[in-house]
Amino acid sequence: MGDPDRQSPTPPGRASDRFISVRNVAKRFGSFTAVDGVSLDIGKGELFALLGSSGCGKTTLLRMLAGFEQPSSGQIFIDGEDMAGIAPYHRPVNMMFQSYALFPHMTVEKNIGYGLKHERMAKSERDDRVAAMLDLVQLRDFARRHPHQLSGGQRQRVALARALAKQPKLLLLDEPLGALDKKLREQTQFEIANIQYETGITFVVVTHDQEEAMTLASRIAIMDRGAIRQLDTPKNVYEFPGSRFVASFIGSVNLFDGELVRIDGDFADVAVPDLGITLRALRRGDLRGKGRLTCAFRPEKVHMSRQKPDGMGNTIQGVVLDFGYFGKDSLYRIKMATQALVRVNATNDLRAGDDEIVATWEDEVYLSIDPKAIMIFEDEA
Amino acid sequence: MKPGGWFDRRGWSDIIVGVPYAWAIVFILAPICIVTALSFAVPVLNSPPYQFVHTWPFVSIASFQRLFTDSIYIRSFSVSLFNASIATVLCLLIGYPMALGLTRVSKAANRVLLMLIVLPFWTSFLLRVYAWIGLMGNNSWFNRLLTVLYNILVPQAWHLANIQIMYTNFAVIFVVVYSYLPFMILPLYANLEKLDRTLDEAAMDLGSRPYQVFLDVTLPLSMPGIIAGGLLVFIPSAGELVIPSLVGNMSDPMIGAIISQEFGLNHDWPMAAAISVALLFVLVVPLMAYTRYQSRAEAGGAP
Amino acid sequence: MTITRREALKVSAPLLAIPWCMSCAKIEDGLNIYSWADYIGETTIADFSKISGIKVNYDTYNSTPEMEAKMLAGSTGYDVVIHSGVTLRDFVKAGVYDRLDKRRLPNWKNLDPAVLSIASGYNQDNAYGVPYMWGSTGMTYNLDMVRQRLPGADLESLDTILDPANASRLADCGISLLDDQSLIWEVMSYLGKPQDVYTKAVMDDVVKTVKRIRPYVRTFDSSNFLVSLPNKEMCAVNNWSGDYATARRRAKEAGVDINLGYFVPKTKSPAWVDMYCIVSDGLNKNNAYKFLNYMMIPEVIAQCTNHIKYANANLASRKFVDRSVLDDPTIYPTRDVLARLYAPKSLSAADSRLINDALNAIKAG
Repeated sequence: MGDPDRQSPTPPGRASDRFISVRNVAKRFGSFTAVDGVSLDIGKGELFALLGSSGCGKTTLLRMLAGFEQPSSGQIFIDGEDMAGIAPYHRPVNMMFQSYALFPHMTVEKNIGYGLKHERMAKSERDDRVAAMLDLVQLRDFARRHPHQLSGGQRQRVALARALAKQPKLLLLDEPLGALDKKLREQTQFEIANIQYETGITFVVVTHDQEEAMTLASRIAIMDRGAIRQLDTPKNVYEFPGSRFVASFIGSVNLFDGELVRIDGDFADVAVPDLGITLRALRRGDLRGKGRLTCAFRPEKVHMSRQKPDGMGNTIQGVVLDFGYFGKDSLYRIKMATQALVRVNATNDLRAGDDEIVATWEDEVYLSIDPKAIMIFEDEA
Repeated sequence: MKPGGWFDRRGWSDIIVGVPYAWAIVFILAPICIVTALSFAVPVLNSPPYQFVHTWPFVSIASFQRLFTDSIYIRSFSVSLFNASIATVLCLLIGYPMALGLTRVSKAANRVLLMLIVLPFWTSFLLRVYAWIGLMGNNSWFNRLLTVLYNILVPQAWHLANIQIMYTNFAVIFVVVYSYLPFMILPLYANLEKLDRTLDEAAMDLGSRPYQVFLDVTLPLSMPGIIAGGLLVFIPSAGELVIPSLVGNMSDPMIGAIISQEFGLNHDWPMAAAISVALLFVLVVPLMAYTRYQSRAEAGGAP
Repeated sequence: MTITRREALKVSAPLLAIPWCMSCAKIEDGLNIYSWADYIGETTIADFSKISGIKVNYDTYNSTPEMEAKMLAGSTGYDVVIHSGVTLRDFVKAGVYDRLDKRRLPNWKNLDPAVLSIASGYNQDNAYGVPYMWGSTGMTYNLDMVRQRLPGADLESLDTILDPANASRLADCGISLLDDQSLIWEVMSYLGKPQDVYTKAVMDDVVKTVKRIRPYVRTFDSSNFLVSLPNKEMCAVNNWSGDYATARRRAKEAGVDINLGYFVPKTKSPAWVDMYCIVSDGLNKNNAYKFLNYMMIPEVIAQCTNHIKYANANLASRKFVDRSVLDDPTIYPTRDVLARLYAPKSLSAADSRLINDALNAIKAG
């Protein structure tokens, strides 16, 4: 990690790089549409994530890239080559399967070398490549083991090494961290990012886990019901979600229905009956006129205090209903006079016992929200 | 019995463990011991028609000596093993694609096809063999059809009035294959069905064409199924008695017919027992090899 | 372990009862008969039960080895068994059957002296068996198929099949020889060898003779011809007289138009006599004698013959036997044919071995 480029909204390399190009691809199974007209471009050497809940079409899209499914319509280009009708075994694409799909009857080195078997390659060269892969995933000492003699993390690395051995133009990773426990995930996600950086191979990760997508990918495509709902950098997806769906899908968020009262320069005033006030929010460029819309703000953007803060707008009063202590922070649920609940995330940056700020049950508190932290959406409600 | 007594503490698990042991001892081990003992007796005109030698060493190996000196036994052993091997290979060649196909068809079709494979078991085995006798006979419509097709395909000089199928070793192997095919398909299917299909995709993804996927992944991983099915076909068909006696030719007798002849016609029970013991050894060797293979597979994972 | 003796007894009681249950299928105060399948009159058993008040359990077997294995093993629970003459002597020696007390068989007087004389070859003075049905060993030919291939052949001579020139012409319509020592006996007689003398040299001659026609023999078999004859799969079948009748009946039932003929070779042929024997370890010997005596009543045995179409050994019954059966020379042989029949002597173990080796050598081809 620590590569600033990865946070840029365009792929590294040339901005116009269309190394992988998905053009209006749809896939129908009978009457069910799994993928509904998806278009996207992925740059060379990018680490790209397809994020969505199960059944959103991300896996079908992945399988079409690998060649296990053929699109019902649309086209897929890899390095400028149309993939239509090209079998999986002829594509410059390799995949790391969710279950790893290691061959149980082969040793680690046989697994890793399997893809090289069909390439015209001297045995010494093949052995060198396998050795290099074993080094890359730090499994040199395990070359002669069988998969069932390895831990989950080691198997995951074998799967990665096997998929990388053929030096594909595109590597697909299906829920790469899904089968690992929490401790291992953190370590492994950095490893994957490092390996991607070292090899420079284009990675496409499919995951339902937003944390996985956010930490791994330079760009994320959020999919829902077969379509891409937003495609942006992890930061933009989180801070500037394009829709109520994306806002609620990524991270946690307070959502309230409201009505636009007026537009005041860069700001918009929205009456929110559930909170009993009119919220001032940063205006979105395309917001016009009046109408119903949705206000959203993330729990950690709410400032909570027991004394009424001075000179801050968007301040509301409530009572602590309950809270959960997570160590580095706490999640509060504050009940408004209207009975509506607001979730607030407070960082525990002071030691316990210093109870000036820490609120407890039944405490009356004031919540204030920076207008820049309030997102408004017109699309739903 | 008081609560917390033997039954509550460990009775149940003891009984569960005991059942297979009891079965094996009463119905497998004990009969084998009896037959083995019998093979060391001598035949006498008596009821029952055998006797143990009264002087040291109390056993007679005359039956076993005959086993190796009289060529009929060696010959029928080789006929049995030959027929069983051919039948097993044919069952595998026919059964493997069928089992593999069964894992690839739709769920509904799979249910129907599986039922059809097991369905013949619901009719008498003997009846099915008799049905084949009717079909294979020289004057049957089936034989006539085959003859006509054959005569169309070959030059006039080779024309036949009918194709002799009955009373040939071919007929024996053919009916054995027909009868034992389900015993090959079912364990193979159980094995193939358990295989992770993503392994196929992984191999294909790594550049293998479908036939290479089959050779590299499906075939080695289905070895346990092949061996289980092979043994289920090989062992009973090597000892087959009914099929050769109904459709075969007594000039190539299988060992089952010889045992039956020694026991029934010659009243030489010790000889029949000695052949049975020898047959047991011949058949136990592959079984032990299989058990070894399995335990090795479980320990090391390498087939 | 806290199992009490009482509990142990409860558990083991069913096990102890097993031997008792196995014999309880047989009737203790009645009669247990073991006979060839389809080998008695339709109502004979029921009639006997009605008249005598004895309850009868009638079991059947389908092959000689099946019956012989059971009888040799012993403890069958049977009282009366139908045993074929050929192997009777061995079973008498093994102590399987009781010597008959002829004073308790007053109907013995009805038996045919000619059959008794054959049967006495199987057991001296007919001391152990009551002759029931009898017949010969011979050849069944599909007359149309054989005459078409061998016009004018003498079907009463074994030359018809044992001469390679003839056999080669019959090969395509199917020759079947008995997979049985009867084949050896027939060939021995054909070669003019003395009866009941078995030496390696004699056996070699027999093997040599049959080997000459071996390529033309389709199968060696003792039962399947009941199917293959009516199906016209075979045209020259070495078998027993009774099987010829059965095959003919089956063909008729199946509506097959077939012209079968049965011939006893001029060169002597082994006769067969099936006998009722009393089992030594049977429990109902009184009832067994009653039954055997009943089966020698002329009217009763005639009914059996009329139903199963085998010749019986009861001379007095002839006037109750249907004319069509009595006049059929393949069932009741003519005086001429009767003279060709003989009863082979019982075989020693060494003789048995010689004969079996010869049979195996012939079959091996």
